[in-house]
Amino acid sequence: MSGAFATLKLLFTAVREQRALLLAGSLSAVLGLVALATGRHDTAGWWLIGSCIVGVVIPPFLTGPLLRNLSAMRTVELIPHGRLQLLMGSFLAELFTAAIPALVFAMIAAQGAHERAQLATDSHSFAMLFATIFVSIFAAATVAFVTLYYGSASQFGILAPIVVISVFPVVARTFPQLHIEHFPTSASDLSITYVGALGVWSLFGALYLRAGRIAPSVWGRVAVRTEGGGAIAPPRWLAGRESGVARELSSQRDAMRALLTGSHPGAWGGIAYPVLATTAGSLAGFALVAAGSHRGGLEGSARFIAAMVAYSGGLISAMVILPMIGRARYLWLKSGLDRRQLFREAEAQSWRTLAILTLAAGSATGLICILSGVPLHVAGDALTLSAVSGTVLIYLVLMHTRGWRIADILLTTVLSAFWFIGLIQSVLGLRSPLLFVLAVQIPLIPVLRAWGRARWTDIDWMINRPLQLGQLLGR
Amino acid sequence: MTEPVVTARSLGKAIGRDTILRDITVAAGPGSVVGIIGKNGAGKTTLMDVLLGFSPATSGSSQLFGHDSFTLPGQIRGRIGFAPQQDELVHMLTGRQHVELTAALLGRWNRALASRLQAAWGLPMDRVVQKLSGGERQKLSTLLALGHDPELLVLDEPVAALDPISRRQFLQELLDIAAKPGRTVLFSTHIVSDLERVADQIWIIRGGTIVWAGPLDYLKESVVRLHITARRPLPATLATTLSATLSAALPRLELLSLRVAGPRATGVITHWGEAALASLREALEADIEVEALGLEDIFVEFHP
Repeated sequence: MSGAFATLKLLFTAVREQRALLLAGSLSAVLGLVALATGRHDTAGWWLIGSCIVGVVIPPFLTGPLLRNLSAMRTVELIPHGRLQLLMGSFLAELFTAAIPALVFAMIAAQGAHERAQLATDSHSFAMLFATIFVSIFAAATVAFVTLYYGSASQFGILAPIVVISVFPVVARTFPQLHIEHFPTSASDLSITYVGALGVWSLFGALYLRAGRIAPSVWGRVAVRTEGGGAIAPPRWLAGRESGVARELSSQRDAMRALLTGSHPGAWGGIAYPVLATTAGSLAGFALVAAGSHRGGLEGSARFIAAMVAYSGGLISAMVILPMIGRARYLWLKSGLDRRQLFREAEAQSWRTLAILTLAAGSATGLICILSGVPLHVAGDALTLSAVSGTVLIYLVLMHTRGWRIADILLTTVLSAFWFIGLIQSVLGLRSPLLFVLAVQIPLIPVLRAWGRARWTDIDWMINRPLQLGQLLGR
Repeated sequence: MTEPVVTARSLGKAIGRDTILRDITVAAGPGSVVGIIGKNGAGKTTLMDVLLGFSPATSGSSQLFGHDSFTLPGQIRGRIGFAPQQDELVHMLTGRQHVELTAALLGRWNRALASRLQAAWGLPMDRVVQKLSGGERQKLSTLLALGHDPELLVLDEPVAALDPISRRQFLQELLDIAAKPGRTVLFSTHIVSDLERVADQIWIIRGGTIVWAGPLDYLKESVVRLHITARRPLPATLATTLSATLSAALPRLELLSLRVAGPRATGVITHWGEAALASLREALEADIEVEALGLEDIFVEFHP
C-alpha cells in the first residue's frame, strides 16, 4: 500500500504549479481558521472554500494522464502489484478530492445553519449535505478520470470531455426518471450515483489490471503526430536543386514554422489536425445533444456547445504555442535570428494558429446555431470574447519563459477568471457585461506583448528546453 | 597570434540559489579538439549551454569567435554546429525532413558530406523520429550538427548511445573534421578511451569548476603517482614538506592525494617534472619511484 500512498502524494504535488496552488490553499485555510477562531464565520467560509478549490482543482484533470504515463513505465510492470498500487493511489486521490471540499462546505453550511438555529441539532442534515457534495464531486471526478485516462491515448482524445459532457443531457432526456439534470438530493439518488461511480471504478480497474502494454499519454508531446509515419514527399522548394541550398524567404519561413511548431512543413502544418478535431468534435457533440433533445429544449445545450467550441480555439492555440518557446532553442543556432526576432516569429505563428482555429470554430458554431435555431449573435459574441481571450492567452503563454513564478501564477489566475467569465456569459447569453470583459482584456494585450518580448530578449534555454514525452505530466 | 575560437573568463552561472559554474577561465584555439570530462552533474552541459549562448552567464564572460556568446550575431551562429545530449528533434518528422528544413534555415548544406554520413551510419532517413532508436536519433542529431560543415563543432556526449562500431566510425569522422584547417571541436564524454583517441586538449570539470585545462599529452606526462619509501616513519606533515620542497622547482604543482603509512607514502601530484626528483629524494631521505598514470586513473585522482 505504500505505493498507493506515494501515488496519492504525487497526484497532489506532481506539477510545480500544483505545489504553488497547494501553498496558496494552505495559506487560505490558515486565514480561514483564524477568521473562524475570531468569530468571523462568513469571512472564514470564503477563505476555506477558496483553499479547497485551489488545493483540489488539479488532481481530477491530472490523474488519468498521469496514471497512463506511470503505467507505461517498464519498471512499473516489473514491480509486484505495481499497477494495483497505482490504481489504489488514483482512487484515493479522487476520494480526497471529493471528501475535502465536502467536509469544508458541509461544516460551513452547518455552522451557518446552526447560528440561524435551523439545523441546531439535526446531525442528519449535516451528513446529508456532506454526502451530497461528496458524491457529486466523486462522481464527476470519476468520469473526468476515466475520460482523460482513455482520452490521453490519442491527440483527438482532447475532445472526449466535450463528448462526455454532451452525453449527460441525452441521458437526462432519454431517462428522465434518473433525475440526472437535478442535483441529487434524496438518499436513493445519492446511493445510485455513488454505487454507479464505484461500479465505474471497478470496471475500469478490471480492464486496467488486465490490459497488456499501456502506451504513454500523447498529450505531453510537442505536437500532433501521425500514426503511420513513413515518407512524406520532400517540400517543393528543394525539388530539382542539386546543391540542396534553399534561399527563398518562403522556404525559410516554412522551415521555421515546421521546426517552431513541431509540425509538418506546408501551409496547413500544425493546423489541419486541430481544425479537423475542433469541427468534428463540436458537430459530434451537437449531434449527440440533438439526438436526445425534445422540441424546444435544445437552445441551452446548443448555446453551451457553441460557446465551448468557440473557446476551444484559444485553448488549442495556447497548446500549440507552448512548445515553441523550447523549440526556438534549435532555431537560435540554425536560423540566424536573434531572440527578439524569434519572439516575432513565434508571435506570427501564434496569430496564424489562432486565426485559423477561430475561423474553424466560427464555422462550427455558426452551423450549430443555424441547425438549432439559436440566434447567430450568440456565436458572434462567443467568438469575439474567445478571440480576445485567446489573444491574451497567446501572450500569457509567450511570457512563460522563466518557469512559473508567483506573479505569473497570479496573472494566469486573473486572466483565466476572465476567460471563464466570458465563457459563462456566452453560455448564458448575457450581452451587457460583454463590453466590460472586452474593455478589461483588450488594453492588457499590448502590455502582455511588451512584457513577453522583454522576457524573450534574455530567454534562458537552459530552463526552456524542448518538451519531451511525458515531461508535462509524467514526472 | 591566432585568436581563440572559444573563450571564457571567470565565467559563472547560477540558477536561483544553485551555483552551477564558478570562475571558469578557458580558451580553445582553431584546430584544437577539446574533450570535456567530468562526473554526472559536474556542469559540462551547462558550460556548453553558456558558451553557445543558450543561457546567459551570471558572472564573467564567454565569447565565440571574439563575440559575446549570448548576443552572438546570426552569421557567427551559422558557423557553429551543435548536437545536444538530449535530441531536440521533432518526433513526427522524418530524418530527411529534418535535413531539408535545417538546410533551408542555414542556407548552405554540404550535401555530399551529409549523404556520405547517412550511408556510413546506416541512418533510415525516411522513418519518423518517433520510430528511431536512441542511437539513430543521436546520429541524426549529429548529422544535423555536421551537415553545414561548421567551423566550431560542439557535441554533448555524442557517443553515449552508440554501439562500438558506430562509435569508432563517429570518432574517425571527428578526427577527419579536426584535420581540416581551422576546425575546432568541443565534446564531452564519459568514455575516457575516446578522449585519448581523439582529443588534444582536456578540460576536467569538477563541481562547476575547471580543475584542469591543457594539452592531453602534458596531462599524461605531468600527473604522476609518487611511491615514497623512507628509512624512518614519515611525518604527518608530509604534505607540507612536499609542497615546500617542490615549490621552487615546480611552482604550479598541486598535491591531489597523499596516503602515509609508516615509512611509506603514496601521493599523486600535478605538473610534475623530473628536475624535482633529486631534491625531493634528498629532502625526504627516501627512495622515490615515479609511476605514470592512465587517463582514467588521472580522472579518478581529480575526484577524491
